[in-house]
Amino acid sequence: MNARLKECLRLGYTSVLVPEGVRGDLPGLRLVPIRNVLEASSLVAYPAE
Amino acid sequence: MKQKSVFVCGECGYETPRWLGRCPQCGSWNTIVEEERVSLKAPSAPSKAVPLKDVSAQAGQRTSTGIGELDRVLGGGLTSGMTVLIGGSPGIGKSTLLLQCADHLSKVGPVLYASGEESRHQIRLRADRLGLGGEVLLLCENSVESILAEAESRKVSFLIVDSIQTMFTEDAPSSPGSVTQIRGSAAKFTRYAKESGTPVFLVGHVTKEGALAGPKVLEHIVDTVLYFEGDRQEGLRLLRSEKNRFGSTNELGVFEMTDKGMAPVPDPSGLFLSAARTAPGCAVGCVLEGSRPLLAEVQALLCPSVYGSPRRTAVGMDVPRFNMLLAVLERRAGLRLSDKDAYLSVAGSLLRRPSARWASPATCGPWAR
Repeated sequence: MNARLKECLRLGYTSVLVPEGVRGDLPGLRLVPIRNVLEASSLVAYPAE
Repeated sequence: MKQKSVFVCGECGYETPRWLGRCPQCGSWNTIVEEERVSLKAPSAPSKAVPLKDVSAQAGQRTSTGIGELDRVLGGGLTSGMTVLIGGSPGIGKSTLLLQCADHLSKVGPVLYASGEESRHQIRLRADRLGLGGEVLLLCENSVESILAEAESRKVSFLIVDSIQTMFTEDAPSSPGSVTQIRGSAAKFTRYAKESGTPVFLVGHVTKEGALAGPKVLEHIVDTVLYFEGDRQEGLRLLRSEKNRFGSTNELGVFEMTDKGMAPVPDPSGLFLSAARTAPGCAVGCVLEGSRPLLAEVQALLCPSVYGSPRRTAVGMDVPRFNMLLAVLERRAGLRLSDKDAYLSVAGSLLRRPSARWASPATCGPWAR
């Protein structure tokens, strides 16, 4: 998981949704724990079309 | 000696004493053809067993092919006596990649490129187009015995055979491309690789279904089976390992077809991400392909269906699996999807890994709300 998080950080992401229980300490990357996919889609703010 | 004929399935190599319409082993129809029974000759000198501790570890050292992505899929490079089978659709770039590989390997030791498909002139034209040097030894020949004799006399360090379906061995009486010929030819090349310690590349054709043409035993004989995938219209090519005795089968090699040949893509994550990744219906998932994390973009679109049964279209993912994910969302997440057409596209067809599937439902969420 740490390798994946590092890759996200490398490509410029600042927030990543992760399954509950995942821990990581990467400066500049905020981990947002989610329980399920529905929670994930409600958390993400999509720009107006 | 009495010669008996045998009926052999062209798909899986199943043998039967009489003709059958359907192969009982693989279930294929009309693939069983009559061939003469042959027995491949055993090596002249019997081998002697040696204790494991006495076996030299030198043979396990890797030789780089000079192409980083190919080395990654091979498990770090070529080992001594390794037999590699590369399969892929026509025109996908198998010969191009191997010619580039041969050019790099010719700096390490002599390379023999044996082609049963192209003339010397055609190979030279391709080499010129790719800007390759001329150190590779070319041999346009179909006979396995002639190729091996030339390889032994030239004391080559690497042998490339393009393709195994065009090769024929004198030990088998049937025509090139038949099950017996493919099996016999592959066995001879493999035996040469093991005895001489020379790495051998074999190019294999694929069937309409995408599997390597010829008997399944071909994949058992060789050490490594690689598949070249990708759309001919797109420049991106993926090299996957189906079997590897000397490395992981999870590694993925990514290439881009350019006018200078196959260019390795060391950082494919950026390639799979589009500029519109913040748009509704887009989600980016991080998958681990072997030892390398890759970001893959999933795009989905839901719209009201005008027909009774909604349309489901997926590019880069199995439609049955996509249907299952939609069913789970409908049943468990409370999203009403049964009256909507659903379209899904996965960048780079990467969603083979189960860990990436979660990204697909995440894309459908905003459309269903």
